[in-house]
Amino acid sequence: MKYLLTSITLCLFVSGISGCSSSRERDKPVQPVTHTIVIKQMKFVPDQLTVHPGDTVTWINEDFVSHTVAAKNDEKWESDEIKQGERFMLTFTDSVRYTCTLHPVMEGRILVDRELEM
Amino acid sequence: MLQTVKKASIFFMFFGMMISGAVQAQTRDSMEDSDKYNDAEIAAIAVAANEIDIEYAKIAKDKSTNDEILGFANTMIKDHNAVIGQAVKLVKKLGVTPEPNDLSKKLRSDAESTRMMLKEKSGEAFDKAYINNEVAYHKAVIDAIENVLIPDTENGELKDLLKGVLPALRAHLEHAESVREKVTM
Repeated sequence: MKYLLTSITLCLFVSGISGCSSSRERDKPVQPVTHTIVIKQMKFVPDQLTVHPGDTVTWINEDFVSHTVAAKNDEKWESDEIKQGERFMLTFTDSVRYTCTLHPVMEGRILVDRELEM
Repeated sequence: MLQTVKKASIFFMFFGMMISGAVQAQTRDSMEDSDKYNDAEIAAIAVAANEIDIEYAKIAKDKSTNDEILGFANTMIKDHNAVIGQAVKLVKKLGVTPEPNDLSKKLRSDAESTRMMLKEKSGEAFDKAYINNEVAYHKAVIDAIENVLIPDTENGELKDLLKGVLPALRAHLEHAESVREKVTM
């Protein structure tokens, strides 16, 4: 009997800690993160990236030809020319498909996951 | 001289005719070392091939009013100048002086006739002629680099540079094909 009571108490204690911990995890604001996309061999690597709202993405050009990064279709934003070794940074709140205006065959996508905002 | 003519003939077989891969491989395998280009000659050929496309693009900028053509031409000028910059930096580092040869001279003289043809055209006819030539030119250059220049190159860094140029040339070809679709619609 004593053993049973001890086991029940222990289970309640552990589940209580676990519950508190989950609640704290949910309440904790997600810190913005910086992600890196490398431009190399005429490709965005990775070409698809999922981020939290408010995260920043940095593109680094490793090719010897210059590139740009620009929103596709809606033309909301476009980088200046990014030369070899240079970088371009942008913070995202919305998903976007993007391209290089100098080499339109290059395409990438940033997916802002709203569920990750919770 | 006979060897040079033989080398040039083999090169143009690759460069101009777009023959099948099987035949290309057989031809390269049967070549002797004396038929191959040396690194200094390859450097001169690479620089000539880039300069030729820059010249075509400059004509397009003068003659076309089509945004797709102008955008493509601007990219060709920027990218091929970047390739030349890399090549010049490398040959300086390696202490190699590009050796103009019968082939690099022939490339330039053939390009002159293409330039004359382009200059005689205007409007949509020019746009079509320019972009058709760009598609064919990039196919030929990619083929030549893959099957002639890279196999012949001795120096590892020069070989890496040639390999490194291929993704850009393939992107140019894809871009040119997309512009051609729009221009010829």
